[in-house]
Amino acid sequence: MVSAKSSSKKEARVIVVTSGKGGVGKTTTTANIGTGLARMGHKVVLIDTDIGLRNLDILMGLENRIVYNIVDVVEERCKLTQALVKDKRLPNLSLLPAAQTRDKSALSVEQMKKLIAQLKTEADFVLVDSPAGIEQGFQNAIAAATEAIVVCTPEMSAVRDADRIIGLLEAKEEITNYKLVLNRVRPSMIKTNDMMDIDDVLEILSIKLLGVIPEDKDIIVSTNKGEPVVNMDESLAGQAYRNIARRVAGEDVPYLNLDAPLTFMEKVMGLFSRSKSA
Amino acid sequence: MSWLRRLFQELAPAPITSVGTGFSTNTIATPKNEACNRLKLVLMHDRTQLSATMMETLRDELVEVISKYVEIDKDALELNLEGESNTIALVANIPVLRARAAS
Amino acid sequence: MNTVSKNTVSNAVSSSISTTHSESEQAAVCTVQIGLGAAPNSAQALKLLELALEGLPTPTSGSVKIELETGNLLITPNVLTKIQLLVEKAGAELSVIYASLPQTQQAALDSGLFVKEKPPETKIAAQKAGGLSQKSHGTQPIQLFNERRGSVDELLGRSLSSLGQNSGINKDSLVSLPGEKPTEQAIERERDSQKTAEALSENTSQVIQSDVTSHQNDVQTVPTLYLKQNIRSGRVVRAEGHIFIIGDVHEGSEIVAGGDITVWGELRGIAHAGCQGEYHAEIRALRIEAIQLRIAEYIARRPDRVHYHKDVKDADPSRLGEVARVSDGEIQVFQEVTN
Repeated sequence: MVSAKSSSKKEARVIVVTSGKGGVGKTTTTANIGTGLARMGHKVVLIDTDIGLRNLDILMGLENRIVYNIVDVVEERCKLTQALVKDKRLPNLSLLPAAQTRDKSALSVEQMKKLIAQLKTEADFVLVDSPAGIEQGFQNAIAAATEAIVVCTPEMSAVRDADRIIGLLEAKEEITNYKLVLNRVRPSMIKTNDMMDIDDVLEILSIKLLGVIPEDKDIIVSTNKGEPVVNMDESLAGQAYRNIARRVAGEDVPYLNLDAPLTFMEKVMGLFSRSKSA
Repeated sequence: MSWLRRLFQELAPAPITSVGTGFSTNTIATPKNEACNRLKLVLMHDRTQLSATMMETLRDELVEVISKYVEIDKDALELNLEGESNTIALVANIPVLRARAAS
Repeated sequence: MNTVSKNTVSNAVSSSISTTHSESEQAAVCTVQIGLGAAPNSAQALKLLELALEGLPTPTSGSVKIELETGNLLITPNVLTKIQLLVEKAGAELSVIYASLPQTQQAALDSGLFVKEKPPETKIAAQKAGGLSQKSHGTQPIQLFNERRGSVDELLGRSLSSLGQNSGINKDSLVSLPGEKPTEQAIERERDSQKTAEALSENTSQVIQSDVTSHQNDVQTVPTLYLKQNIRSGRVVRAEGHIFIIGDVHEGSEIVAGGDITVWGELRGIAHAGCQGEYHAEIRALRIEAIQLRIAEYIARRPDRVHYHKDVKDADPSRLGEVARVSDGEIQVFQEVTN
């Protein structure tokens, strides 16, 4: 069931992580799935295509090690290997950072394709973190991808934007496989009928599920530390991301039980909202 | 303490099963259902790329065409996009008052 | 005795090149002494050398030996490699290096050259390189992780503990670095920054530039760029000469100067002083919290997630500010204090 680890001849799988709406957790998802895959022994390269508003470096805790960036590479001011920043712990994980002092137009679809073609031969997975929106930056991000992970939260605005993104991904025939990561899920709110549940979102978007991430304060802690939550063994969100990484690698992992026991107040409120609506 | 547990079990809402089973699901006005219903509507418009103004124009033109043949109640006319998962239908409910005299 | 001097060069750096070779001897070996001590930085030094080598006598038989006088000039191993390449190309051989800086001496020793502190007789006007004196004002240097640009990609992967010590320099990786040639780099930078400025001038101007006319100008003669504003993320401030900023420099911005960088405020972005190879350039700020400091080819990065002198601000009211400079072959931050 497990896919072959670091087989030298096989080309890397190029997966774009995208969402349409901003702030739903694209970058967090990229950092954690990438780190999760690297923990499993795969050779992983993360690419930040959010030029001008880079963040992946902060989440990985690598912001002070960046000397060159993706724009320096495509404009041939440095070699690709020089721009790749190695992870603090995992030698098989590296980051190609975005430029902070330029904008999205500094990169073209052709340049992106050329760049990823170079990386493909050296890695098992290339994860591309896409910027929010459907403009140039998004087009660059999906340029060379063959798979996509759509990140969404159970909120109307995020679902609507995800639908638009899925439509654009469907229109691109190179992308053969796309799945949903539902982020920031609050099981307690689903129980009280205050939040759309997982099936609602899947039905509305008609998309397959890759995994569900619960709302977790560990995510904020991990961002502050510059250490992806996937490395925190006791964290629920970390466990969810570890499972997702295994699914991406081809393993069959059962979905995590996010059900936390209801508190007294939630039960009362649940009863209240039910009687009100009846 | 078993009475307490029993009480809480009763207080807890029934487990939510997946949408689309039994009664036409999202009739109860919970925030969850409201979101689902509104979203479905919005997405239907998004997917057909029909804006509210276009719907309005469509409605007016429909009235114009149909009025040539039958007299209709313009105010009671209903025009909606309806759909299930991937198929979308344009449904019009047009109350006819009387047929026009053949000219 | 034969003296070569080119006006175009001496114009800019007031150099003294004196090549000496004994013509009386018809012997196979001909020795030429070249002085580079007057060059303000290694880029100019390389240029001087090139010109000196052009005027080299071509002996009909035997070899030409070069004696290089570097004075107080700091020569890094990769500059030395370039020097060796130049000399080789001219069909000569580098025999002796006279260097007074220990770093230069070490670099020369490492590449197997014969090193002496001073030439036997002082016939070369060894001017002190136009720059700042290296006396340390402060108490103790603040620990930074120092790296050379060339070996940075290799170093970045290393664990924190090993980065604590100043690392050895990988000569191969230094040589292979593209855009490392100071002159080319400078020209390209200039072209690039002009392009960016043009592109951005229509909408929001993000790149601020002082008058960039000739990169051959000495840093001292180029006007200083003076800005009274905060520099926010995404902005690049680039100037040929010194840069003086009144305000804070935020993380995600970049300040690149041919000369010194002085910030009357907090420095949290990337600062690159002496970007065309000026090792004596300094970076000063009321508080240096920079994510990276670069001086000439040296790079130092902030330790991971440690605000290493947060407490100093409150603890020490006598502190004036901080200054970063190249010292003992690495970038060190010193605290300036009132006495």
